[in-house]
Amino acid sequence: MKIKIGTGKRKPPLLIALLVASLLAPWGVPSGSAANSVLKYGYTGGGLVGLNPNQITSGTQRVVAPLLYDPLVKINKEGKLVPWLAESWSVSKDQRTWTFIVRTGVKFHNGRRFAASDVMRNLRWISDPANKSSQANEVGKIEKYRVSGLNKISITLKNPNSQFPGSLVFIYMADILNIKSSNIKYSANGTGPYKINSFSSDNYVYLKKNGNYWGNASKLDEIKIMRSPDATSALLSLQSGALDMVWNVAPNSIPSLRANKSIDFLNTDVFTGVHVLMLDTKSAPFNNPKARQALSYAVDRETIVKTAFGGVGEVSLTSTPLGTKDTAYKSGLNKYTFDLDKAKALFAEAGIKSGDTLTFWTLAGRRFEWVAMAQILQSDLKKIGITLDIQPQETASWLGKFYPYPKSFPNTIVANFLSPPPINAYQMNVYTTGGCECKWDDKAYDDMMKSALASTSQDEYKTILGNMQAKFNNEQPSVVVLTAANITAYRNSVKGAWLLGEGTPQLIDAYMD
Amino acid sequence: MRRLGTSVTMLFTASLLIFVVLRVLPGDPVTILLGPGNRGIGEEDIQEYRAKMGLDKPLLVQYFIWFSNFLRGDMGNSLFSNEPVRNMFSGHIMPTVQLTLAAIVLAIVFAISLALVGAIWPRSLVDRVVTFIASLGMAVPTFITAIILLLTFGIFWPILPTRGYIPFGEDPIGNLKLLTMPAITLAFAAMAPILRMLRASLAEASSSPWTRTAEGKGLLWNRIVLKHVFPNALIPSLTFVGITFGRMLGGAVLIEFIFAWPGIGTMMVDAIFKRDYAVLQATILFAAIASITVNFIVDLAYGFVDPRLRLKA
Repeated sequence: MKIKIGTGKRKPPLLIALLVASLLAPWGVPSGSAANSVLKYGYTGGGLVGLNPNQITSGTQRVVAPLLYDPLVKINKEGKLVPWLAESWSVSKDQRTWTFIVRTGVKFHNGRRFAASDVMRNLRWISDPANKSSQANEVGKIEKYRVSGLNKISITLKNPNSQFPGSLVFIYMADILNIKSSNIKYSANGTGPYKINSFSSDNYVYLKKNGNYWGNASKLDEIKIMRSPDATSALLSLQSGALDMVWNVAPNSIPSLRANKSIDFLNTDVFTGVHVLMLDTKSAPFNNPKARQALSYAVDRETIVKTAFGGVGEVSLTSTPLGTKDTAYKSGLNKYTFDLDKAKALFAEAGIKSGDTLTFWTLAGRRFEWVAMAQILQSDLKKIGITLDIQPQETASWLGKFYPYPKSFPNTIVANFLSPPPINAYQMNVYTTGGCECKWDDKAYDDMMKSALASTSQDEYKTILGNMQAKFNNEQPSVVVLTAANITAYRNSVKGAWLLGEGTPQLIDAYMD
Repeated sequence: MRRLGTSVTMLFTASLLIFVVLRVLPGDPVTILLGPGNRGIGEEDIQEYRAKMGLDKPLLVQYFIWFSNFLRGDMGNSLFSNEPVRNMFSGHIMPTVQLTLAAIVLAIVFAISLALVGAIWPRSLVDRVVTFIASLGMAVPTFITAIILLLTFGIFWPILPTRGYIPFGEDPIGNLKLLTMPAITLAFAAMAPILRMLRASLAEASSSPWTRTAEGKGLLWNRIVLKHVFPNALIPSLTFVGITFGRMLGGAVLIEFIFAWPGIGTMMVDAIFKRDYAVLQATILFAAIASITVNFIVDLAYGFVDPRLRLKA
């Protein structure tokens, strides 16, 4: 006999309803809504592993460095080079010896006075090969130093360089004397407008106002730079007010964010970052310039910028590292307007036929715009019979494919974003011998770079940079798709923040409305 | 003792496997450390740095060094931040333990409550709602649950913070507010299978001969379910709770990522992306230890729940 149990005996107790209601009850004001003098900045990737300003491997470190430290010279909002810790500078006639007068009355966060000798110590630290500084390449050009008194330093370069101050914009002054090499990553003892409050590697850094700052007093009491590993939730946090600013927003998020009236995007007049398709110019098939030109013609830049990059960026039809608004931009060069017939013909001349396969190496889980770019290219190449095998890889594998120089990566297109110091000479300098993983070594280009740096005439300098662009335009050591900046979204209660050309938000003048 | 011996052997094997597999993966921590923007770095610099970090030594030598240090309580330093892994753990372990405990307690409380409600009123509307909740929990991906919660309580009805972590000792209320959404998300996903399993076990136990005997004796149905059916139905679910708890302790990666909760899972994923071997070895080994320990405790708990098993042992 089957027994029916418990049929319609009782009703669910009220307790369950109360439990659910208690969970849904308001908990008060979210912790995100702090006082107005605190700026909460979120970054989605990793990379804030240390605070050494001269050992920078991530974009977030670039955001933090100018808050804790000062460089000798700086790029201002208008993209111009301005004095910072160096009050003034002069150069010898041969463009080799630069003399800087440093500011007096500047103190490190520990109270020690900053002097010209600190400039030398920092430059020496950077140039010490054991420290593997990310800025070593710039400082490597120095032959000797001479410190005179407290505020004068003369730096003699190995080669003439009329643009030398420009190479110092990302070189920051730390109190080397009081930082042991083992803890330099954590002891942020600089002269900057903010001091370190607390730091958790790759998690957060909280900064507080430096009351003894030599320059204009900061308008914020605190800046909290916090990691928000998931991009979607970071943007939700921005909308909820738990974050005031989010860096490196994926372009496909722009339309939904634009619908929110309280959110805006940092912008710049001149983009200096470049999204490139990097090619191995020493391995087949891209050791043939025709194959590189063919690829450049096969890239539908207009569609890519419009759809993959959400319209943020400037199409680079001449496929050179300088954007059209750069003062040294060379117009009148060959335009790589999307043309599959030309691409097919040039590919054939370079030995790439219908049925061949090329590999596209991109990042997985981030830089979704690169995957979208690859898919557009894949669809176009298919029309001329070429297969594009898209390989999204996590960072370590992506990097291991082409880095360090001179690693070989035949038959492969690597998506990359380059953001050298926003000075046109340094943007062009990336492609001198040994500078680019593409392994392009063109003596004429190298010589032109040297001449440009040695030039004392601005017109001559621009002419040489123009010739270099012409060379690049013809050879296509990398295919430049667009000039752009990493996208930063912010709540419009944040005022005074601005963007460097390559996309690093500058928070030094930021305040909350 | 035999169980303990098996657990130690499992841990040793796991540590060796972890060590070897990590180094077989493509990608090199040194290339990431020195960065692609670091112009002028060449292969010889990479090799020099590898040697400095001891990564050029034969694999077995590296393993021996790491294992002997580990036995002495030295888990090494992060290749990137140079911070002792032990210190890094101390910063990440509490968030993980707190989140896991909160989620598992919520999951158990809700699973048991709902399963009992379903068992007391079988085939009623309430029972159908319980079944629906269980199916929903199984079907809806954790990511979606998290986003729904974020949108609801972070944006449309902003009563809860959307991201971050504050230690309980620093700000208890702030900590609980931040904990709520990640714990509910994790609990919802963990609750569903426990609920289904418990509901099925309860149904099976409810139709057993001794249940009918108890009902025949005139015992109230509520009492039968709570005193007789429930303890008998608990064993299979206990195993599952143990597995889930052990897995959660190893890091609820997705939840931690979404809510910027700085637990072991986030630490592990970061270490994977950077090939930070010392951190990765320690986090994976921690996950293995957590899982083995919890299962060991669950094995012991069987005896308490069902005395027959204690006698057999």
